[in-house]
Amino acid sequence: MKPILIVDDSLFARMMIRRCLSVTSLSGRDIIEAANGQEALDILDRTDISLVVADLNMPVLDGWSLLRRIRTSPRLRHVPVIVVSSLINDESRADLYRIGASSVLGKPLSPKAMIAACFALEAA
Amino acid sequence: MPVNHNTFQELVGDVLASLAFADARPSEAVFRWSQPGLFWSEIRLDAPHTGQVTLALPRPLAVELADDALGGLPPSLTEAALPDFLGELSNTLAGNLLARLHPGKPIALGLPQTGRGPRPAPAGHTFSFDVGGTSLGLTLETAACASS
Repeated sequence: MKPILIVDDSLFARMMIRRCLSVTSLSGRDIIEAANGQEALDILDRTDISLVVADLNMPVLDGWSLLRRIRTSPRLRHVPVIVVSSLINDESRADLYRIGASSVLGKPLSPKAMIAACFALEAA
Repeated sequence: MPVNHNTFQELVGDVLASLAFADARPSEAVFRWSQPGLFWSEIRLDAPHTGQVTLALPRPLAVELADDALGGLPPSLTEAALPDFLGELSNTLAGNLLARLHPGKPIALGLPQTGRGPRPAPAGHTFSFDVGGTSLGLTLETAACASS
């Protein structure tokens, strides 16, 4: 089974996302972590990933740029991307869906929200 | 839109309850930024208006909140995860504040900075919260601040 890639510059946030994923239907999948968008792209270059879970506000390459790069890559454009960020309002949510986010979740992240997002991905 | 103090206090309570199941109650106590053993984090508000959110709390409370948030913090990760936890907390508070105040505008934050030890009180209005008998201090500095 292809692994999940978690992208967040905060170790604590990555641990929270792992914890939330552990109660979803995707529990048990291997997880790879990256601390920013550029690290994520490097991993995506050499690894087949089933799902990206990414923050927006990160150094080096932010989540907006990462999402755009994934959606414009012929090889990666079909990889689902769940965005998890504190910077979610009506404006950013609409923009994120417009550029191709599969799901948009606010922080603090709850297991319930992650379960719903994973369920929606599988149903799509 | 100006920041209403009651709105900010409610938001802090909501975020701490959601993130770490903590009961944070506004307190009249004056928060002491000079106390030893303090952990702090600050984050810049970049858009739609500028400012800064700074939070500080004693180490034992930081450990307790991080532990509760993760349902058990591995001891080997405590020292590395604590500054990260504070950075994530300030990021979450500031992001939710901007999102609540400006639902239809682009919002942006800087990256959180963290540190430990006594520090000068930041500019702005400091709110004190009682979390299980321990004080947590939170300063909001922005031109869009209203005291109602």
